[in-house]
Amino acid sequence: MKEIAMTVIVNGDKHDLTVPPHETLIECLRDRLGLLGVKKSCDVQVCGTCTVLLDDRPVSACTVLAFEARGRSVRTIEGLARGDDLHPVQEAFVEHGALQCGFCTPGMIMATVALINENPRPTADEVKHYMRGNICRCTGYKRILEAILDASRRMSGASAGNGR
Amino acid sequence: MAADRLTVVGRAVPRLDARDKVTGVARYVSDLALPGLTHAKVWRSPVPRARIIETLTERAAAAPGVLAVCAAADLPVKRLYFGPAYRDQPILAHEVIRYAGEPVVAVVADTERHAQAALALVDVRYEELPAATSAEQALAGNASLIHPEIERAGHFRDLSGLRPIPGTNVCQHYAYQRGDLAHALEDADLVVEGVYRYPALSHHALEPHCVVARVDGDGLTVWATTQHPFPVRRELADVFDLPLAAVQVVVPLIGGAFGGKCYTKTEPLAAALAARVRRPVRLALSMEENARTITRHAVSVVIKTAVTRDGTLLARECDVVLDTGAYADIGPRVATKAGYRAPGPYRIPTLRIDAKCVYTNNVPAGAYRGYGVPQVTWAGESQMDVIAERLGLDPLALRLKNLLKRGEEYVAGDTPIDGDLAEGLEQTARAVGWTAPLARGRGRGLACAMKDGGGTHSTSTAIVRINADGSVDVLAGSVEAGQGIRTALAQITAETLGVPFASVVVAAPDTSVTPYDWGTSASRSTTIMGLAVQEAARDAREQVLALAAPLLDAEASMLTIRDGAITHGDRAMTVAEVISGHYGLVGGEVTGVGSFVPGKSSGDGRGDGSEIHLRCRRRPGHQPARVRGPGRGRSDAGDRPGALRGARERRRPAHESRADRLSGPGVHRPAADAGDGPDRERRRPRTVRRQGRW
Repeated sequence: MKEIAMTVIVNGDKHDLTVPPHETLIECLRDRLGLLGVKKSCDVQVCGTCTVLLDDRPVSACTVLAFEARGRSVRTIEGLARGDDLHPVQEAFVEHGALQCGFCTPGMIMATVALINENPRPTADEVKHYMRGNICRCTGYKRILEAILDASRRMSGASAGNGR
Repeated sequence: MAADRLTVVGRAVPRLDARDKVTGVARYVSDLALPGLTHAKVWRSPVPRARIIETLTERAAAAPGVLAVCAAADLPVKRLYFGPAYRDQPILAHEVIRYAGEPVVAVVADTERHAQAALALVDVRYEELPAATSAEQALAGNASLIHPEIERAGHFRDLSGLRPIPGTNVCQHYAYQRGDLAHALEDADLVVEGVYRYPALSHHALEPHCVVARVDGDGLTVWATTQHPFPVRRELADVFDLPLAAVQVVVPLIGGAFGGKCYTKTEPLAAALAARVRRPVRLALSMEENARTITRHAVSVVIKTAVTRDGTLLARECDVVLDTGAYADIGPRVATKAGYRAPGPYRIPTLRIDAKCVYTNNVPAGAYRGYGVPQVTWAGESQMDVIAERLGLDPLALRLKNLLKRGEEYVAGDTPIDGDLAEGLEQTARAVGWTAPLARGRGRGLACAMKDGGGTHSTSTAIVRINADGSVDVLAGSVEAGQGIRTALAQITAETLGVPFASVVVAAPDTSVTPYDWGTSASRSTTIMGLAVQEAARDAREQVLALAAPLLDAEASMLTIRDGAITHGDRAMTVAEVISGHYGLVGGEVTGVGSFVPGKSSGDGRGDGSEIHLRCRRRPGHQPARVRGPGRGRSDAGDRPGALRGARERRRPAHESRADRLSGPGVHRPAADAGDGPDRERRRPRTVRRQGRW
């Protein structure tokens, strides 16, 4: 099987990789690059648990082929915090207790980052609509919704550079 | 310690695992890798019942990367069958297939892809047999016996009295009766009867079952997504005929459980394959396989209630049939609990309850939030609304009129009700604006259910170690499945010892390190393990004070630890100074031990405590409100163990909260035109469109 040479930027770092054509992005990120914060759950693009950003747009890493990221930029949960400084979305999730088992949390946070990037001050209904592709089985969503709304408030109150 | 002097317990503290979980650093079983790790995949039966004629594995065995292809006979085990109630479930199907999705052949390969590819080359020849795919079929007179013989597992004390009905597919029969039923029905102004059906559900924890198993000179080590590390250890010891000490079960963080990870599931298969290939094996199920591993029981409830014109409940008859699938799992206990809880939290003088747990050729059903409560509550509370409608009563008033009061007995001899159920229900009604006019197209309803207290028949033990630098290790076998147990136990420890919350670390369960715990289920951990940890922390504190007394020229009884320091007059020492002062400069520790053993504490070993869980829906798409009986247990916050306070004051386990919830935010309601009367209507709960709801 012919392998595909590709360059991809992951969390700001450039990687030169050779991948088989059937390799999925989640396999590439978890097994090749050790980014285990990308969680595998349904594996059929239903639950949103494996959400990562591909050129700042949210995708399910389970159903994107690795080579589709060729020449593009991928951001995972590992690429959000700067050292000890959490991203405002991460801070909001901690402060609002918007997680329990935490398995959906990386995907939930990445989808939130994409949402706020597209729509800096979403309404509650807009959040619910945007986040429909992310399932949480523990929390009942209320605290996640509160955290997302709070994060959007904080980020729009901060200077543009803090949006990261 | 007076409640108002609590400094850590009862306060909102950040979850210990929150930062790791938002940064992607948190590690779950499915993230674990070991040197030389191999991967297993399972060939599952496409048919619900069959006789296996032949299993041809040569082609699969020759496929790239394949290390082993195993049918049941190829597994290096001493005992093929396991199960918490009956030893009825083979690790791989042996001679017969009992449900569609049952594991029949396992492939081990160097990569997951190679194992998956080789599955297509497995050739199982079988003769399909007529299957019973519903409890009705399995109860029919001509039904084949799915298990002609069953062997009791003997793992749990409360299951020693299992009552299967010989010659049938019934693996547990619970019956309860009081009062004169015929008389009560005659006296009634209204008798309402209905049939309510509840479908099987998948737990859908976001991390599917995953096991990594390794066999080495010391024995067997299994990293597993289980809520029951110690019962799993016991079953693995049975399967391989090993001493308990040679089996180590480790449980890192797990990605949700909801009962689906109770007891033993795929651990024996992964361990047997590791023993076979002599390399570590990872068996990670897909979400589809997960749904073919365990479900919540499909249940039918035939329920008849007799009332007077003013809404006083006179009698209730309830026939509950649970479809436990091909293997009993913990179904017999679910059936018993469903029967026990079927009357609901009401004063009903006359009762006849019958609950049967029935083998079928469906996916096994087991524990799932509430152990039968959701199924019987769906029936009973639907019928309460029918009664209110028929009598022209307010559904809230009807419930309030019949709710048990504090001090009243639910079942004679059991601990009486110790919460104010009516106040809880009234609070709920206020929260949803019960008397406010409804907008067009809106509905409003409320329901209540009762669950007897969890896990007081069971044991937890804990160790609290104070290190020479004053930091504290808590060794406790409670599994962190998202409920915040590690945070709660750290709070209890910090509070009891008088040390800073930040100085406490709670270990992950590891049967070779953490002392015995019955399991993380039945809403028991904050209370039962919490009491064990509290006792261990007291033990450690007393030892530290005894060491400090001579150093401070004081009686130990006069001393206390506050914020990690012991003060006497104008002299003060830190805990670290006391310990290193006693042992020498560099080392030593103080080890406290605690346990909760049924009967040892004032708990009588029976389920105690009652509370109502009320879920209301204001309008579609909104989160249901959830209000608890006043002064009971915790709030819905994941990690505020107010339960400790209740437990401490009463020395009786109160309820922990979250795991008791019904299955997620969806609320099952009867159809709006739900009728009643002699012609039984069959009703199904409306299917929730997805597992969760934004």
